[in-house]
Amino acid sequence: MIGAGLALNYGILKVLQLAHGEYITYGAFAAVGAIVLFPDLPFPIVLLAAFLACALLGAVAQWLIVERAMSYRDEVVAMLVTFGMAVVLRDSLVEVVGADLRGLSVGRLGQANFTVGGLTLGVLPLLSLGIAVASFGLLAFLTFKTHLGRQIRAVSDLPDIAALVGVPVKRIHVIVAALSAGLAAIAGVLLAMRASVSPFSGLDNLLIAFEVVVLGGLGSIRGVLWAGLLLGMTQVVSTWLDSNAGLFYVHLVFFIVLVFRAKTGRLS
Amino acid sequence: MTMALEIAELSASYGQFRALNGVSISVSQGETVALVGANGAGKSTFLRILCGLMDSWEGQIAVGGTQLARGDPLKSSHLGLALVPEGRMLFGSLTVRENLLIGQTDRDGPWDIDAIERLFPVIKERRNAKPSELSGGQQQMVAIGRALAANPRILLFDEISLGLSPVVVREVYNALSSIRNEGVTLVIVDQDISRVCNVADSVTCFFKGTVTFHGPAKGVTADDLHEAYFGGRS
Ligand SMILES: Nc1ncnc2c1ncn2[C@@H]1O[C@H](COP(=O)(O)OP(=O)(O)OP(=O)(O)O)[C@@H](O)[C@H]1O
Ligand SMILES: [Mg+2]
Repeated sequence: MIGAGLALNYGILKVLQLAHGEYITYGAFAAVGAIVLFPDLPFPIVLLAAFLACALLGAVAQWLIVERAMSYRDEVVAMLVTFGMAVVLRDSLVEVVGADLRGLSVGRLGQANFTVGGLTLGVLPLLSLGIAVASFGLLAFLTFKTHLGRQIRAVSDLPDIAALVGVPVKRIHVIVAALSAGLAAIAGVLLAMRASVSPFSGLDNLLIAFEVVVLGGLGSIRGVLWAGLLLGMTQVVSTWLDSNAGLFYVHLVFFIVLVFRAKTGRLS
Repeated sequence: MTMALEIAELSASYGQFRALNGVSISVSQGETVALVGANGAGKSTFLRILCGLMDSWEGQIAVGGTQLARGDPLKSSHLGLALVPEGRMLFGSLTVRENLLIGQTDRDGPWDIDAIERLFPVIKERRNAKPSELSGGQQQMVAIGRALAANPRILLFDEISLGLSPVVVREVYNALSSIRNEGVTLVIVDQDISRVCNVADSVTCFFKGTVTFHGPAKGVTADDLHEAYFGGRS
């Protein structure tokens, strides 16, 4: 979940969006904020609101800032600009909400569980997994079954030729940036339900996002969906087995897959 | 009558290197132009400029009476230009059918998917294949189909027969006559001068970035173009 948006962004725009971790944080804080303001808001609406808020942020940032940086031949320019965006976004958030940890109160849901065949499953991790799988499903449907998805894939393959056959490449870039930031927001909400987030969580999350993207193969949407699922499952399973494990097993799986790939000579 | 293409004093460069130098050409609507010249003469550069794929050029270019934007392929597409590029350049993650669908625009014209599939039946047979699963000839047909799907006013071909078997070349050239009959302007780059002059109304020869021959194509042979082609002076 955390990596899907980053991969989407990199795969289509060829820009490594270093503000992705901040989008995740912003998603979490948008949800926290929504619940503070409207305590009775149903969860799906909170999720949607966080998605929309970050999608809008991502779209505006792409339209006004990144798109211009992308017109330079040197890819580093765009990357540096997103790095700047990350810093500005983080510091603005600290300015507004302070540096405290926040969490989304999930009430009894956090402890709720049920037992199947001797295994006790928490409702919360399953819910997260469900939302992640549903988001991936929607993203896959959008990418592979719709006209917009066709345009997105064409821009990813050959941007110049896509424009020449009439695809509005800049608009596609903005849409992809919005989707990518929106996915980050959903990831952020899911994180905030399980653990607290601080305005400084962005970098940690960017790191995990990188792992997912590298595992999936840079820029391959299909690959990233699988990698995201693998690392997501790892996290869910490892928190069952050892609730203090945090992200250790996720990083471990990443490491093992990388070593395996290096041995078989297929690094990406 | 406004010309399909009106080009005056077009010069272009890659850094210090001048690839085109003072090219002036007019093409009327419905005309088929053979564009010939030795390697490096500037043919591809010329087509790339028209398609908005290059922005370092000077001069005047009007497409159907409208000034061409510099380096903006989307605008070129809106002006009715379409390209069958050298090396096909199909979208690798799209199926054959999706490559056609994405070529469609809201311009009216004879080329809907059915018409394109009638022109190249193989497109229908392999509609769900990925471009990489096709032979070079089949890929070229898809590339032509994708360009036709836009119902272009001006259709540009770069190295139309490069790497194709004689059978496929014949099929592609047969298709050209159906395409011409629909009134679209064609600019065709091909190494085989007599073959391309056979279907063309006029022929333009480039040598080192300048026009060295321009005239009716009827009856022109490679020998006639020899000097223009190799830059000899008489
Ligand atoms: N990207 C580039 N950078 C620098 N020089 C280039 C570039 N592309 C083309 N050139 C140079 O510009 C000149 C014209 O090239 P162009 O590709 O237009 O020729 P052409 O007539 O299409 O030749 P060919 O028959 O080889 O396709 C050549 O001398 C080529 O070396
Ligand atoms: Mg060429």
